[in-house]
Amino acid sequence: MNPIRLSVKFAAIEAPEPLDAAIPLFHRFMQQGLVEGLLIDVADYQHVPQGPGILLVGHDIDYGVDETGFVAIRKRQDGVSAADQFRDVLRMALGALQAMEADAEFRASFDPGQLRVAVMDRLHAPNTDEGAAVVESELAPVFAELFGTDAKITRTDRDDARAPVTLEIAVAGIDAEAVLAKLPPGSVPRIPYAAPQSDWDITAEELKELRDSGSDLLLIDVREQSEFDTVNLGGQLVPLGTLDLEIPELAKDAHLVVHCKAGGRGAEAVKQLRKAGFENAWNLRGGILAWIDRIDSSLPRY
Amino acid sequence: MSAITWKDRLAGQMDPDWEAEIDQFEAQVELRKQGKLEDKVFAETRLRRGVYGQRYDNGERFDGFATRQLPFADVPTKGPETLWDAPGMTRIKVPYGGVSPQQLEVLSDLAEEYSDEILHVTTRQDYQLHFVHIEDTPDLMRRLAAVGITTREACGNSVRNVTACPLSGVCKTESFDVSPYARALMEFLLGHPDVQDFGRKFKPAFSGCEQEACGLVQLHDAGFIARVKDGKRGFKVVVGGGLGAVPHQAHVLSEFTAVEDFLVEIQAVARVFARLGEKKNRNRARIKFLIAELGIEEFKRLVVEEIKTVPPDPRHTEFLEDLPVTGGAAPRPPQRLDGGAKPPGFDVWHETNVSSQRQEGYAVVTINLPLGDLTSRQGRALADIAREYVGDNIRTSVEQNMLLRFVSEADLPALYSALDVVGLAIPGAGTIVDVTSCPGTDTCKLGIAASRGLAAELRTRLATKSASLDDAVKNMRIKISGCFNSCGQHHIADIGFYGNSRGIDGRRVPHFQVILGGQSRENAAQYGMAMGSVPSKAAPEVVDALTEGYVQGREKGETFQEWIGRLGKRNVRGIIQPFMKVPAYDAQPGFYTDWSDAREFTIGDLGIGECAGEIVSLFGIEVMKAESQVFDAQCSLEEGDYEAAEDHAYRSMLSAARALVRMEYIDVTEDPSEIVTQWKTRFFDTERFFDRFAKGKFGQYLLDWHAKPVPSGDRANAARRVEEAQLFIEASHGCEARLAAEQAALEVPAGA
Repeated sequence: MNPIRLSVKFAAIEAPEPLDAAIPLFHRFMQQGLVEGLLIDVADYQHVPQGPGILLVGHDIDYGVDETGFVAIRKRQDGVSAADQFRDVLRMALGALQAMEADAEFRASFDPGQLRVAVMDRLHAPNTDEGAAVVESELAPVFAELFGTDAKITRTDRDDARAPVTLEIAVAGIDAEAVLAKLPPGSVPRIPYAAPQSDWDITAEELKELRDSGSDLLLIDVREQSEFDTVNLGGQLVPLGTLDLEIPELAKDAHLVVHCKAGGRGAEAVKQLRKAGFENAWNLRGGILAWIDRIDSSLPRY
Repeated sequence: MSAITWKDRLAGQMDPDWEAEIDQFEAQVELRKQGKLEDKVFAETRLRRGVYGQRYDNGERFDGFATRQLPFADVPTKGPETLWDAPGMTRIKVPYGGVSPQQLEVLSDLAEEYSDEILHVTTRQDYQLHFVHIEDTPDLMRRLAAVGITTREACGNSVRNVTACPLSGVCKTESFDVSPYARALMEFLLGHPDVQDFGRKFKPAFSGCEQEACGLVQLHDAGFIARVKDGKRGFKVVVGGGLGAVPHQAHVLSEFTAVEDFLVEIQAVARVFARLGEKKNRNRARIKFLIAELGIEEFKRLVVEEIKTVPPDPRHTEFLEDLPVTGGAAPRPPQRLDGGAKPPGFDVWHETNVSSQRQEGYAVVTINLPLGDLTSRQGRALADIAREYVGDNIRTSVEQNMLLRFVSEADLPALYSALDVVGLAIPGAGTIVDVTSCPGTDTCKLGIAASRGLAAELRTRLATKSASLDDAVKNMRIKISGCFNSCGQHHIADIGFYGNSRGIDGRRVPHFQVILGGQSRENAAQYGMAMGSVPSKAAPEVVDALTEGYVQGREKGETFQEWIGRLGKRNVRGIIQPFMKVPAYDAQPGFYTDWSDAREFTIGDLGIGECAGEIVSLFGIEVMKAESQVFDAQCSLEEGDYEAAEDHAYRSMLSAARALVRMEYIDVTEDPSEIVTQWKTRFFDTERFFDRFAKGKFGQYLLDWHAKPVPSGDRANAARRVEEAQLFIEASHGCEARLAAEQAALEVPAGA
């Protein structure tokens, strides 16, 4: 079955507040080419109650953020099976999630382990028992392959036969990286290292050079304890939320490099530090992931 | 799985003519794809079927830093400057805005499968879907045709949607229900050979009475106002109205045309228009220009003559024997609302969104759609609600809302709760919060400023203080257009805005022209006048200042329009003046972006050298003179000195033209002939003055006037001339912006 549209929506853990923040984010996606798709424009639907929120409209995919989650809608896939469309849109959606995480300004989080898949095609996938059975039979093997057999799959469209066939999937402790590794490659690098994240970025290569030169620098890790426990670069752990408490303890003339997972929180931290008068504070662009990918691939990615 | 198609699935379920027509369109899409059909021919073909180009369909987009090419894969185009692959808008015309629950469900499906899950209701009771791919349009049309809706002649030089007062049939002031006649007119003219050869579009409208706004017949190409004479039904027929860049009030063609004569009469009008209307210059091709040229008396004579030549056609009167049914019977018996407990929020909503019907015990409920938008999910929920409470009695309104008619009053609390669950019980319908807006820069190719962005901002601000607003303010209307073309109907609002832009220190700043004193009552009998341009970001404060000024300064019982009229343009301008200034970029960069947009609104910020900077400032100084002269013209107009108004208007055009000439030829004198000659040679003949869409339209205003600069002393002429001068000045600003951008592009170092 080749549906005309297929979408994946990740539930919001923390929706952007206000939703407005998605407008410049989506413009940055377009300006810097940070996500996949031929992107056309940003549509603001915040005035519509229970509406699509902010949409990044593309030729072959739409991305959207509302109070409940983040959605990617794949379209114009003539002759492509539902299974392949799902693989495709999932990769695009996970890529966009990483781009959001790496973004210095945008604050929100979505759960890739709580996803809703909708097939919007009333001709080939009507919301009848037969139609839903076709969708389930085609997608279930892909779900098993990507999420394992423990994933809980529920059909959530039964209250309205006119709604698209919709499956909800709950994956406990999802490993988004591992899922991505199983998907076909896309057109955009998963982590947009090239894009500036703050006015005070340094690259992984530059950080390596500094460390190798024995320069007296203080590496600050602004992630959370659990992330630190998973993998770290030997920096001092100061979660972003506690940075303001730590600031009085730091020497104003110290050479500081902050990092997080992908660069977004680091950019926020460096902004706070610069504002507080630290003139030699820098952000590791792309975070620890950039370090792992480019400098030390023996460390675990997460 | 076998590849079943909508064509197979719906075969035989459509009107055979419509079905053949869609198959033909699909074939043409295929031919165009193979490069076997010419651009222009295909463009006309798709437009006639409601398939429209959208912003960025030329494959270029300004991303905030530079204009980039969108990497669409295919080369062929679907019309001049319209790329094949670029998704576009589909307009679905629904006569008098009446839909059934089933139709609403199909519309919702289509929005979900082919668009962005949003159904947009327009100011002409159409539905629009955006970002639709042309390959999907034949199926989309089939699915609509299967439920009796066509997109045919929704765009292009054709008879557009037939609109009607959404209260027809239930209204207390109407003479009779006009909807069956509106449907009869639509069915009669759809695809009629006499309406295929127009130079431009033709918009008809119906109204049940003369005094209310609902039908807005005065601003339509043809308007029909229900009248009963000696017990016989008929219409007062008006022709030649229209907003557009220069608004025209319609003229009376006939004080009474009996219903059995009205189709033959409109057919005669169509034939006269097709024969004598302008064809080449689309800027003067609406019927209003033909009537202005011939005079209404001559036009009337031609129509009377034409009627004699119209071949007899049984369809002229056949429909009367079996008047089309519009809206089914009410499914619930009429019953009064009792005094029981009401759900929270009910009373506020009831006050603004419910009105009683002519039929005892029934009410009309207005669903306040923010900016005319509803989602597919809401559409389906509304279909359920309609089935339960009102059956087929759903309408859209020119204020971009939806109406449920024949609601049994006793059902109102339950209906309110059902609507509330899906976010459709927003109060404030028909109040100042209920801002009307065209799509503007969001999706329209012609948009200059973000009309929807401003509308959404005003809605939010006004809704939060709605409770504290004075009643007189609450009842005001705000309407916004993204450019001088008046799709948002800014001319007939208490406070109207249309988008334009101004150059400030080498940057472009989005602005809105403030239009005050318009009126929508009496079918839009009075158009507003331009008061001055304010930066887009200051527009909400202007609304505050005007409404507060009105509340404090009004005399007892004075309407906003009367207050504006009494104050006079100079004093009103005094209220707006403080907001006209644009703060420096460094102080408030927000002024240099538009609402709901993160991109800097500019085309001139790329490496402007001193030379270009100087050009900008010189033009800026010169054009200020033109702005003040056109303002004087408006004041004279208001004071009734029409000759002076015409003279000021002419001089303001000369000043604007001179401002452009001075950029290249500093020694140009003040002599009108020299200015016009220099301007014509340098800017008009070279087409540098032309913008992509209006071409030479606005330049022609100056040439026409200069050829015969004798004031007529006539009010209508003077009003038109002042509008034209305003548009000429806008066009001069636009021309200067393009030149500055070209200059800037030249000065970007190679390789940048």
